[in-house]
Amino acid sequence: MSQTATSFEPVPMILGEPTPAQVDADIAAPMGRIPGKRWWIAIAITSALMSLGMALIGYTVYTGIGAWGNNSPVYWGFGIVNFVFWIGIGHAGTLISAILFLFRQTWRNAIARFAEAMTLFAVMTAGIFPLIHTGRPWLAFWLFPIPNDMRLWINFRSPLAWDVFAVSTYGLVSFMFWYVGLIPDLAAMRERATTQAHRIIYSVLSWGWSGLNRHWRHYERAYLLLAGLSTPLVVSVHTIVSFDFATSIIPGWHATIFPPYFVVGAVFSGFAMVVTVLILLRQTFHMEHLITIKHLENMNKVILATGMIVGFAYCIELFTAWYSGEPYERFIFWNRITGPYWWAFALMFGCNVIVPQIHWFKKMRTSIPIMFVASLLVNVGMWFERFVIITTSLHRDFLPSNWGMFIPTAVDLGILLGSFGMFFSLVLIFVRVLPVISMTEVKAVMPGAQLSHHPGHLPARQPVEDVDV
Amino acid sequence: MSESRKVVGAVALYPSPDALVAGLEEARKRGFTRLDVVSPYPLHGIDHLLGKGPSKLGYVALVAGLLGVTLSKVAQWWMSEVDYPLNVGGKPLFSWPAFVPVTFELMVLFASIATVISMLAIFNRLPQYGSSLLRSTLMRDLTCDKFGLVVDARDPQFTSGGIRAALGGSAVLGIDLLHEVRPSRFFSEQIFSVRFLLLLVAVSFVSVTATHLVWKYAGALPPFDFMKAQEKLNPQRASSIFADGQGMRPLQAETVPRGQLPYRFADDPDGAAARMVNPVPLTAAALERGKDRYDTNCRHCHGLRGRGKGSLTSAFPKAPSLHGIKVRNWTDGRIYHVLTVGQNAMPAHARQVERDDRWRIIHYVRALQRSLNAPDTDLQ
Repeated sequence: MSQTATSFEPVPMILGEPTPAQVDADIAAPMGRIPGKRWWIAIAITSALMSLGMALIGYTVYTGIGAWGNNSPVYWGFGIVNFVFWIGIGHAGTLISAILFLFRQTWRNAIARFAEAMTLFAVMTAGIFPLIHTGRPWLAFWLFPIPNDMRLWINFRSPLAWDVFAVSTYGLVSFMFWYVGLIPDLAAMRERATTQAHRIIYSVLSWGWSGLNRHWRHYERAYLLLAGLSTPLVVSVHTIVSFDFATSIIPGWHATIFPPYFVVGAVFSGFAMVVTVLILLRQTFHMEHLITIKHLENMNKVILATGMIVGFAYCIELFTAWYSGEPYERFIFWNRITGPYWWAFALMFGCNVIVPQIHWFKKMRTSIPIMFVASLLVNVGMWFERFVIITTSLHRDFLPSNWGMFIPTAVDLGILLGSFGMFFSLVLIFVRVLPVISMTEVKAVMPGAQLSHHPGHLPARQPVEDVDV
Repeated sequence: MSESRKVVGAVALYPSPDALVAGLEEARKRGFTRLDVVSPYPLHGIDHLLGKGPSKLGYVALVAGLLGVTLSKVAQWWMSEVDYPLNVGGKPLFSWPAFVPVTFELMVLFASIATVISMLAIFNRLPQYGSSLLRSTLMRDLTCDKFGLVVDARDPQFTSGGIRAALGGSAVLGIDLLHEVRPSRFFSEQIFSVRFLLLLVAVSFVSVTATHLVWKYAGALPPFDFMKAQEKLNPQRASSIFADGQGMRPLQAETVPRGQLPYRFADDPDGAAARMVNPVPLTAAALERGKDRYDTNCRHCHGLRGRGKGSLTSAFPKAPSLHGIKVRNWTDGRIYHVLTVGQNAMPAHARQVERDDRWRIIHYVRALQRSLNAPDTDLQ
């Protein structure tokens, strides 16, 4: 019995027993020094890619959507594939910061800040694609119900209109959640600042936060409320994204399994992206004692679990197509496996269903090189999942006379590369200017950080009066 | 930080949460009632020791969320059913299940924004850039790994001289008196100075001018001129679509457009009088159309009733009355000849008025003549 009990003892999530001051110093270190050579090389590459993407976006806006490979019958090409991919990447951030917070998984404290920032950058990257897909992005405000001289309103029954509300709400709420979490850390950075400029910037951003209990009381409640609001929000966002497909009558899209299938797929790819970037981050900034192998192992377990659900969804889709007896539905799925895009289906199935199975083995899921490669492959697979769903369903639908192929152009590929450039440029800037790990949350769960006896059992006290200093 | 400024409170520094709690209990025993705790992260259970209940922020989120639900449902109903009824596939105009996603998103949005703003600005009264506590030298430790007990100077037990002794204990690392912070001169004086106001005016001028120029000229540049710069056919304009570079198509050789057969009696009014009859049946619709064309093409010279009293008579040779014996005795074909090729000062109207409309005008002119010179049979 005692042996079973000890095996459930919590594993220390901070190694080497640093003092709280050392934790602060380790987290603040990358912000206080001039970046090294590796950082400059990295940002040179990512910002070059971003510039390439931006130039090609400018070219697309100037000439029109004909610069892309989209054509009859595949009207939705890379624009929508990339949109769904990047929105999905963001979902892991909210899952880590909100859902794991509600479940009191305190190990998430060390990775929540980075994951939330990743959410924000992924939503920003994703938001570009529907915008440029409209062809006239300067008129994109027509997507909102704004009173106008045509006296027209948007169609509230359209999933595309729901998308506008879902993605913009998600972006805003994610930003507020991330920023509220940052305020105490910004106050700490203000006190650590060595230059006047840093002090002013961090002062303004931290709203003059001092850490009075009078403030913490409302702060903690606000954080809890935001976590509670973000949790259904994150589920709703990818549900609505899946409605873009599921409410149509295209075979391969018109499926009730789409919402859960999309949400889980999003969490799956997002976790893989978090693992990819955190591996690089913890080694570059020497944060191995704060983002431990145990954190990575936990995330690999989530990848394994969500990968299994994604695999289950693939199989259920195939089963439903066969069991429905519907010839178009059956054909679409047979065409996915054996048609001209069989390689994309094979990549998707191999990377998303087979690769994560290695995480059954503790050796594999605690080995940095193996999990790094696995996380990259998962994201390749998840990108191809969206490609398979969009392309194969559209390119051969009901009428054989309407069949065609989708071939991306160089502009398509360039903008895809540019989106990665933009995302990683934002990540690289973020890790230099803001605390990449939440100092406040990590210190709050360190051994000895809280009262040794919770005073909840003591009789109620006379309330103190508010101080105003 | 001169000692002459008013003392508004004091803060004592403790190394650990447990030491802080001991200090807090001691201070409360001594009768201090206006105090609070400062910590780098939230300490669980301190609320209970300070006698504070849970935050009321949840009610704000609830009310804001309900407001978001109500507003979005009402707005969607009003936009889709009342202001611009939008029929999509015969579904009800107020198809509420389809309106659920937007309603849900706005509930979350309203609740989140209300939570954050009311937490920061209303419940916590932030920003507090001018707080005395932030000026304390202990603040560096208080945001890192130490804990503080703050006493307000308005506490009845508080004395500037005695507070160090009152808060002091073996565990205390240090005590700092908090002094009143003079409000920044910027907000009290400089903000109303002429220089600052001039700066504001200059900034507004530059931004308004820039906005105006962008609105005025950027829209005319490609690709924003997409509404004007279309590859479409314009008559009288050049076009790159056809080989001859013209937007307008020339007539095909050896063909005649419908309704434009050449007029056979151009030099033969008598032939026209003798051989042409009005092909358009006399109907109410034909008379209506004839009146319309007469009012458009003839009235300005021949007048409302055809008596030659048109509005142009002073500037143009006087047009004859259509009620004279000559015109009354003309056949329809003879009048048609005048309309088609013109007569004296009257130009040909073949280009302005289509063939059948000319015959309808003649019907109308006949009706005008009959109205002034009705035959006896009409009066019986």
